[in-house]
Amino acid sequence: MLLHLLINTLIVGSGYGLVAMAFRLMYSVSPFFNMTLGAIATLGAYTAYWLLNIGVPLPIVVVLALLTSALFSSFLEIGIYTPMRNHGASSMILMVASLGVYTIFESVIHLIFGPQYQTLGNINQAINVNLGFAHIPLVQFLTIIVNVLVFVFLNYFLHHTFLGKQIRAVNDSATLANIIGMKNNRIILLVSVLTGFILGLDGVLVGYDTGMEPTMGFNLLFKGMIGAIIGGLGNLRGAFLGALFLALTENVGVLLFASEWRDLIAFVIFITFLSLRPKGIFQKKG
Amino acid sequence: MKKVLLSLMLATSLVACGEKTEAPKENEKPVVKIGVSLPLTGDSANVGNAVKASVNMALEEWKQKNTKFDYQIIFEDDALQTAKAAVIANKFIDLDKVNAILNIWGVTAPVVAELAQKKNTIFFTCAGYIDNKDKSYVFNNYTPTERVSETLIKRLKKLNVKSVAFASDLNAVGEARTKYIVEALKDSGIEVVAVERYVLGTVDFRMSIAKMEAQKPDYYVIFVEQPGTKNFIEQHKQIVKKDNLAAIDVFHEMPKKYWSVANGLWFVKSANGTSEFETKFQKKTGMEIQSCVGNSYDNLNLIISAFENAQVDSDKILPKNEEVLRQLHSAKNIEGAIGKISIDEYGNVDSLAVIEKMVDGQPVVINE
Repeated sequence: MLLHLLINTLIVGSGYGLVAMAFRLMYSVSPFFNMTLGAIATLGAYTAYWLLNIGVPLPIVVVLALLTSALFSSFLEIGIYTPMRNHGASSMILMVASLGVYTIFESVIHLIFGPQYQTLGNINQAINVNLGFAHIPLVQFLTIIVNVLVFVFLNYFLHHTFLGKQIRAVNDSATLANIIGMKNNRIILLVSVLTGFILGLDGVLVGYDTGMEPTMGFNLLFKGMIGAIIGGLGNLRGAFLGALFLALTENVGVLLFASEWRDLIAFVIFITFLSLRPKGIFQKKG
Repeated sequence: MKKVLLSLMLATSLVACGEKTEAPKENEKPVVKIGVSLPLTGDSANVGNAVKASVNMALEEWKQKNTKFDYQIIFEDDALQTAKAAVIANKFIDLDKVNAILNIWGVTAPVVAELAQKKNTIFFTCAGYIDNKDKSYVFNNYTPTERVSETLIKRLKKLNVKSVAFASDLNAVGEARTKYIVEALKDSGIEVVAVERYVLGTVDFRMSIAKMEAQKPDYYVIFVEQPGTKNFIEQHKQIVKKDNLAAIDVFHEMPKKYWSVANGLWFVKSANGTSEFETKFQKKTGMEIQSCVGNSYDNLNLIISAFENAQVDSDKILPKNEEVLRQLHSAKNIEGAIGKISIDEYGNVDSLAVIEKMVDGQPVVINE
């Protein structure tokens, strides 16, 4: 039982973790609750679905799905959020705008692909990976690995590259960064491309593992956002571990209580953290 | 302001004109309107569209006959959502002024039943469970849970199953059926070692299956609708690694492209259509037989027959509801698409459950 708890926490938590890290990364340079991040993940999944249906080989499908998500993410930044930010829109206005864009996007996906549940493949027909103590489908193994790799990459990128340091500078103080001559909008755009890739990848993995429907983005974003808040919005480690913690509590909840309490448990934890420790487990210093 | 007032007055008068019920002209027959609310989009669209075709087929057959009244069907898409179904039912009753409503499945049926009963409108459904004991206007044509339960237990006993884990959706039908079947299983001597319920839309069952597996059930029985069905089957295979999974209805209600996921698994389902009906339906529509296709064909026939047989003073007016209801309740041993059908005192049509198995991605009846 503990083994199942561990594996399922890793699988579910990794799915949440990718969104949590993308959310945290975007929030660090553009601090508002960007609902369109969910739409970007959905686009990745549906692009892959469409390409697979017209017979495009899987490796090309994954590359194109990620590129589409990154392009869409940058389009949203250039076409909507940057002009609004330049006109002095507050975080609240940006959030409302993102909610509007998300709603339009969800309706378009609904109209094109229909509201039906779809899946990118049958996981039992895929290869199983032997972990020594358990066999899990390849897609679930990849979700765990990708989550760890993205975490390692982002940590390195943010702390050891010039661009990463610029992102952290904007995160610390956008005004100061601007004063010393940094082009904040360009940095935000680059971050939006990066989050587009991460979210697109998450969409494809989720599409393979548990399937997709037009509303999937909202659910993914919400769980990822809760994970990021639990961990602490101030750092990447918080998002990574917060997502795993959320998955663990959900699974423990299913184990101790009942399956129908799963979402309730997630929200109780969320509210508890918001009221008792609003800056999360790993509070940002200073 | 004047313009706004004038526009409002014009709009009001137009609406008023639209609402006016015109008396039938000399050679025109009165029209019986039937509102049909089905999931034409969404996860159950495959079933909804097949039922729509069967209802249209029944109507076409009546149009070949010299009927007392004309019949008009208004289709609406409820996407199997309770709120949408309620809005559609209100529209049918208040705006379209329908004489009867038809729908399928227990997710939407209870709300439509309440509205139909309240507004004295005949309502026929095909739902796994509906409480219609105090609702004279509400009829249900679906194999009752008692029959499903009997068939399930018989099959489990034959397989020498001693213990079962039961999983179902958390909705009115799921709750009602789970309660009945779990009690019946216990009464039959089969131990129910775990009962799990899921909010509709759940797609990750892994932890829940692992939790049930810890109780070491001989068999799993599920009543989990799409989008959960396919994932449950796959995740069960992943965790339990055995084919000890059966279902009530849901396997064949998945979109056809997922049927092969359930290969080798059996399920208890409501009565099939007769072979004559199924052949006729497939030949005429080119569609797959789905849950409620035969039942809904029969439901429309029952409604139209009741109107045709009802006593009226003149052919220029429609019969009163009481008379149509009397005709419906007197329907006994009628040859229908699902065999001989009768309506009982509560408005339920009885039929036998069948067992099918998925073989090469196709449901095959198991004769026992």
